[in-house]
Amino acid sequence: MNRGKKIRSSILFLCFLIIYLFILGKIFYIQIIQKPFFQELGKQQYNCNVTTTPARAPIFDCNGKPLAMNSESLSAFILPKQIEEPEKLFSFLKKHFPSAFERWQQNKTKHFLYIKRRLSPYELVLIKEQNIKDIKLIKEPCRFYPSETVGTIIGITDIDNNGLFGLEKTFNDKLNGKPTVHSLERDARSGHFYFNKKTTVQGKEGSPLYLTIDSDLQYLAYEELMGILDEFEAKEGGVVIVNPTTGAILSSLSYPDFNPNDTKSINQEYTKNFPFTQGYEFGSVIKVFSAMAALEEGIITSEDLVDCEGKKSAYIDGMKVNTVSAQGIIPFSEVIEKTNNIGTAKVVKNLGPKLYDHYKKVRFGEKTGLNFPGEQQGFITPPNKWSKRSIISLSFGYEIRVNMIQLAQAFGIIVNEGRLVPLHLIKGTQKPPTEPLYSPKTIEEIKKILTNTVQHGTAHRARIKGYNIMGKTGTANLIEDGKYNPNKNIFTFCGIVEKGNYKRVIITYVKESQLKRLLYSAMVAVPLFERVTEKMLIHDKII
Amino acid sequence: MTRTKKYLAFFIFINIFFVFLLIYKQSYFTKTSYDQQILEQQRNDLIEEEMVLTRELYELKNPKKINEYATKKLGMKKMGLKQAKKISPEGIINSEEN
Repeated sequence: MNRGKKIRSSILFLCFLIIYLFILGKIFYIQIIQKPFFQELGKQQYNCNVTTTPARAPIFDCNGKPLAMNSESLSAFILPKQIEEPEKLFSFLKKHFPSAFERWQQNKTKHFLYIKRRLSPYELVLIKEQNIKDIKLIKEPCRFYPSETVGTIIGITDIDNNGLFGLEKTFNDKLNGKPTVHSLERDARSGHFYFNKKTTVQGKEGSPLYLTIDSDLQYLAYEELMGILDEFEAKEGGVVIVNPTTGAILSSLSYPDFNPNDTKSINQEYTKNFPFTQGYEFGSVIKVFSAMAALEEGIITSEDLVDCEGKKSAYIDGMKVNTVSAQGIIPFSEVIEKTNNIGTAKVVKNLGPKLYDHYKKVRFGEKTGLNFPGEQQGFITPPNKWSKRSIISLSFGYEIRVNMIQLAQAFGIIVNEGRLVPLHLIKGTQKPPTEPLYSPKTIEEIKKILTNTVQHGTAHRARIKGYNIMGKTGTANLIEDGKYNPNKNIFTFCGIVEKGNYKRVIITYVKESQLKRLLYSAMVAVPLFERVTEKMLIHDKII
Repeated sequence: MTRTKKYLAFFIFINIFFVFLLIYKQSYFTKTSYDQQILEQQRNDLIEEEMVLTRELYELKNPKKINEYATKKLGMKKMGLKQAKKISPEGIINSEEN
């Protein structure tokens, strides 16, 4: 081999050596030094984490009928970075979805943009008719409420299916459950299938909620309430039905309300369940408890005579007291039956601060422990803040603010022979009854008084032949601009229906009738009670 | 063939057999996984269909709609307690008699 050839072959060898060394170096760099980086890159291509959110659990009534169930809604979206027909999309969005158009103009570099979530049937037809490739549809979970009358109890969920108010909010975590995270090894070609699936975070299914509410009964009561509100042109009303033996709330409704399936325009005020969230000075219905206190403390018996002064207006301890109808000297039982304020105040004022203790004993002025969102605690003027008038006002239901649920719970004491059975709204959360709060004698006497109120007193329209009905009416003035307005009233009736072992407490109230005539509870709340009771008895097959 | 060659051939054969077994296992696993995912998809579709049908069912069961249909279309009237009768082995009992 001549020298020239030798040099050329050496150069060639050197060149190849450098190339091989470079390749080896690169391999070393990639395989050893950059190993974690490429390993991670590979994992990202093949592995992915998928979060599976469990379906939100349903809510059932006491008969197993769904009150809140899952449904699906369609939402429209675009991928701003991959727009194929910009002009078509531009004009369509500008015309039909101007807010989405504005968002698109401001976020043109985003990967994903919603046009509209939870499309209405009209919007869906509109989108489908246009057939624009860039507008895509996605299914999203939402709630459907088969029984609209329980809307104020159940509440609704927001656009992301989380509880917004009502029980949907209170039990949001319980209903939602916990999402499960899976690590998937995808197929490289389509990415639609996986080879291996590992659970990295174990989730939990949502637990359904079982209420004590009877949705059919709720609807029947709602119908009757609407009829009465219409008849008396009243602004507000409500009905509560309770099984006093178990403490189960079977129905709790009020009007104005809202349709949980139509949430486009909701007045927040109408989303409240007034029996829980609204406390009122109910007036004469409270006399039941002031009379019980007087009988229990032994300051009077139901036969003792009381001088009601034979007039509609009288002064007691220098305070003017008005009553609906004038009575003379009558037994205490008749004072309550005929709902005479003068007679009641004359007797009950002798209780002094003990009256407050008795009201607290029946759990007025404290929450029921149901944890219902927005439940009002109520209020009783405490003895240390009493004015000269307080004891008189408290005797016939003023200066004491309670909600209808508290009232129903307290009325249960009469049915349960002096024991207070705490109310419950969720099945399985029943609490044991208290020890007797009142003696059997007091209970016996008050039962007689309440029966006579229906048989011969102010609530005679509540009589239903074949059933033992007890109850008490109440007509109270509402406060307006800091003083009681005699033209704005709340009409209440608290009733007990008994037939054998079948017992129910029903509270009805109607507020602010627009009729320009003198109305009393016996004309407004008692007929509502009667109608609701009839429907309830047919529904419960108590014939 | 010598004994050593026989062992070697057997060894190679066993190895090839296991390689094929492994390939078969992997492809079988992939196929089963694919079938499983198809079934999962079908199940999800059926759940979705059930949800739609349940919703339709309860929409039809809405007491308000039933009431409207009964009173307006069928001309039915609401029943009062006095009209209610209980049929028992002893005979028909009116609400007021009890």
